[in-house]
Amino acid sequence: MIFRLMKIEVKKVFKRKSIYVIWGLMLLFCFVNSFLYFRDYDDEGRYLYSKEEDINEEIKALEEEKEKVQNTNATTIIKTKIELLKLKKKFSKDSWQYAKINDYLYDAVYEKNIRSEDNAALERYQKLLVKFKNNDYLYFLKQDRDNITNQIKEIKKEILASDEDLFLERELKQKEETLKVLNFRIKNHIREDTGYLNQALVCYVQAREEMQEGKKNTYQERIHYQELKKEKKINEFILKSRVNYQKENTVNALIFGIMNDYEFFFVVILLMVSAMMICDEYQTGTFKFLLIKPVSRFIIILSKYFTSLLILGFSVLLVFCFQFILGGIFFGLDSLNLGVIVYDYGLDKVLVLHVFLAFFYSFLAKLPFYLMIGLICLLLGVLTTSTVTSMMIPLMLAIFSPFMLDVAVSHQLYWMKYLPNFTWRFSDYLFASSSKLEGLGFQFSCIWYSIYFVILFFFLVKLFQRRDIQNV
Amino acid sequence: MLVLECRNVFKKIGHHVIVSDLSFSLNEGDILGFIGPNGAGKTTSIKMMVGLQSLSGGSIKIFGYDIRKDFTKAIRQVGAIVENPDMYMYLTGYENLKIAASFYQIDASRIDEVVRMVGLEGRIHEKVKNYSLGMRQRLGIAASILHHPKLLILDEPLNGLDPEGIRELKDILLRLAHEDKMAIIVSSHILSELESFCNRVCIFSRGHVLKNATIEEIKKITEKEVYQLEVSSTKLDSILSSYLVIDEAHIELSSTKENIVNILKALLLNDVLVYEVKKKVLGLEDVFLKVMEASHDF
Repeated sequence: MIFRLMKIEVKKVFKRKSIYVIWGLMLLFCFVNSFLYFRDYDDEGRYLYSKEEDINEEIKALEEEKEKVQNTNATTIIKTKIELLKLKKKFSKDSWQYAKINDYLYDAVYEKNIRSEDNAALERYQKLLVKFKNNDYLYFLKQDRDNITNQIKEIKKEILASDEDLFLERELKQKEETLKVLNFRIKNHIREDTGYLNQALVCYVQAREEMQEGKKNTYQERIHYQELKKEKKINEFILKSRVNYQKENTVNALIFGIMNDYEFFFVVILLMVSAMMICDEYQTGTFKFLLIKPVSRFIIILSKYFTSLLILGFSVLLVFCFQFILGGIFFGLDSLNLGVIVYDYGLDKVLVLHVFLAFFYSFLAKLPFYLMIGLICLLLGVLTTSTVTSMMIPLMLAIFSPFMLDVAVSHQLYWMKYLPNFTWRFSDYLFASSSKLEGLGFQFSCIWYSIYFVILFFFLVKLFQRRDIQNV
Repeated sequence: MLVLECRNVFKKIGHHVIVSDLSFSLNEGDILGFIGPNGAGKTTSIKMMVGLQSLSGGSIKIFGYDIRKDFTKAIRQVGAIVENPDMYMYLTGYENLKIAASFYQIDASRIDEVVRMVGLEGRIHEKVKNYSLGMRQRLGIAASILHHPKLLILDEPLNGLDPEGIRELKDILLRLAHEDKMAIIVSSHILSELESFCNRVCIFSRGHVLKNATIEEIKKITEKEVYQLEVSSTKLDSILSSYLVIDEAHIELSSTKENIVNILKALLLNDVLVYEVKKKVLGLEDVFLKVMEASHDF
């Protein structure tokens, strides 16, 4: 009987115009999202419209400054800066030349300008410029490496000459780290551009440095350390595999992000359907039509609950299919073979999962949240028969949960971990990760979530069974 | 065969008694009229019978099944319209009937049959929101008789129906009661309409059942009691202790058949001429008002 009732409920939902309006909006958002990724990102996954420096404005400002300055050296510095900016304009903002022009050419340009009579300085500048323009980044990296090597030698000499100098030892350590990175760059041909390999290397180095300095005394410090470990491992994996797993304009990224990107729509659909199935029936009197049929009220409310979840599942599937098709059209389906990477905090390992499996995990992790808000909505619907109340309270809970969690963390309000909207956050524990709030763990959430769920479900059933249909 | 048995049914909300000590039974083929003003407890009683409201006391049994303990078994034999024929407005009439049919083993031919029976053939595939109240009543009746219930409960089914619709509905109900042996409860404010097809009535007032009797019983009582006289003068206080002046030539009084002769003698002896003596046939409405008056006195 429950399946027959669910079939009836589904038919009724599919006859409502409002559900098509929200599905239409959701799919429109889906299209706009995919289209913007297609329009605004290049093949490497870089955003095309990131804020650019206004070089012309900088040149204009420097020229004005130059006219005011009398000192020869200062004039030369400004002239050098202007020359470099003019040169910079010729390179793409994503190129290593754009990022490193000052580091690699400043000295040569300055020398050329200050010693305008000196041919050696001019020749040196021209030689460097050719290499710079010819994309010979290895030459510059090797130059950097030689400089750092020499600096290391010097520091070592100074350390030998002096007694224990902590400052020098620290500097030596930093230089040695820099040397390692440079050697890695040279060996793996990683330019200092905006490409994913450079990004991964920068993030990797940054995470490793922070980890070396990081403390692990408090819970928050330990959580931060875990995040650094994740950052390091993921970027290390990208550097080793040389695959741009974090590229956002792929069908993989679009599908993997569905449960987060479309959460608002899913919540609204679930609440709308739940409220519609309870409050509308009470308000229009059609519950009488249903409740005088030979079915127990328990089965009726259960069928309504399952139907709301079924419609949610259908909505997720709808977005999944639509996103898959749009992703395929805009970006191709090649990325499906690559999979997505996730960091397993428990194993301290990066896992490569098929995007469908990763999507399924993220859906499962979110399911307790949807089960609970659907239940709360039905309970409020039976209690108040008001569509607004039964939709708005769970919606507010869903929207403000992340902010409430931040407040709890920043003000150390540990008692808040007992709130139902904190215990439903199972996606926080996906791949053995931890919650930001101390004491809120997977086991704790399982226990308290189950308690809340059983209590609310019990109340819902009892209330629905005992509720009289009032006279109009 | 006993279809419905209500015994000492009691309903209280807070301190307010909605229905008190409702007891009656209903056999196959009976058509019982529920009569009473608004707030008398008719709808609440009906809601308790179909499980839409809980009982504060007493018991309701349908074919021996207690509505509280064996709800699904009890309600399986019941078809009902409670308050209004509340159907899904965004669905067509046919879709509504299909939903109702899906709770029982009913095929499409039965749906067509009831649609024909209530005369909705031409409009059944239109959305219910486009129906008039009368059409919705017909659809509600179709939905409630779809599964051949043994007990049909209709709360104000005549609302919104035109005279032709009322006549058709009466025919349908009489046929269901006589041919299918269906027990029927009908509540209505149109008392004169109930009179023509109910064989029993329950008169409700302020949560109490004031009268529960067959139509014949009620008619018998009233036929014996009320006489209408055309007289030369209506100032009869010195002769009669209780009478009602209808107009300047007519009075009404209650009396037994034997005593009316004595009253006539007394009038004539006091020079009051009596032109006509008529035994008044009371309708259900008169009985209702009379019972209500008595209850107020009480």
